[in-house]
Amino acid sequence: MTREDSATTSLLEEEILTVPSSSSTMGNASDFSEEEDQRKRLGAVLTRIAEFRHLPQGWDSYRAPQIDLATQAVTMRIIKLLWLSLGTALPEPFVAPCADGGILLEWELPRREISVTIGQGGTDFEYLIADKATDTIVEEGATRNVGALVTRILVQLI
Amino acid sequence: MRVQEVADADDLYRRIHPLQVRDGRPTSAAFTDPELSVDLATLTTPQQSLSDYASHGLASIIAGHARSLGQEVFHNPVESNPAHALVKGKKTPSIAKSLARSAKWELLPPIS
Repeated sequence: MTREDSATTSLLEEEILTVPSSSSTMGNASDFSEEEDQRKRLGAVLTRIAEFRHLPQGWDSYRAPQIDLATQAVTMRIIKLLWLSLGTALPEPFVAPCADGGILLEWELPRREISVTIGQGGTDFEYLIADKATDTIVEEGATRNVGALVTRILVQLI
Repeated sequence: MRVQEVADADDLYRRIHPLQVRDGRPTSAAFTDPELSVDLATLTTPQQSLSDYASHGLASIIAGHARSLGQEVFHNPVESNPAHALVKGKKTPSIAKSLARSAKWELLPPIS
């Protein structure tokens, strides 16, 4: 591992260890407990994302590239930004490594499905919002702006 | 190796990594590659496609469905795999999801 790799890995581990307090709890013991439970669940999601770094080249039995650290770190940042806005109202996402080196984030809500793909390198994002009842696309698009992406997701999750 | 025509009705096999399975179903994460490798079912068997990859599952999609999504499907034999074919084209999230939703298990991945 190079010095640069080591530094990036440390940054990634720091990302995992710090699921921050959200702004949603009102201060009573029940709220605190709920927030702690949700922080643990999200911590497990972040750990799963971090574990993608151990996947070797060709991990999908084809030509899938390794999931790079930048893609993992940006994915974690998106989850944390959502957590900071929604707190315990943030549903736990499903995360998976993609065949093209990106990471898939999915939320299945009662009426909607949200799919977000963080492209390899963590700079390009694509999203799909689908209506489950009618099986139709509500919105599909791409952006390079994390803030714009998070806003799109928040609108659906609130 | 002779290159064969791929009919719309032909099944295409794709190995699925366990991390790409949600609630027992393949997810779109397995179908994002713009040059998606598959095997032509007419030239192999599910067991042959999955040999050497015991930790994976094997799903099938239909060539005509991929084509209806704007994908190019063609036989692309290689020395190590005469059944190799490609589903070529940009996979937007809706295309990848449609491929995943249409996929049927041929061989389930082992339960971890």
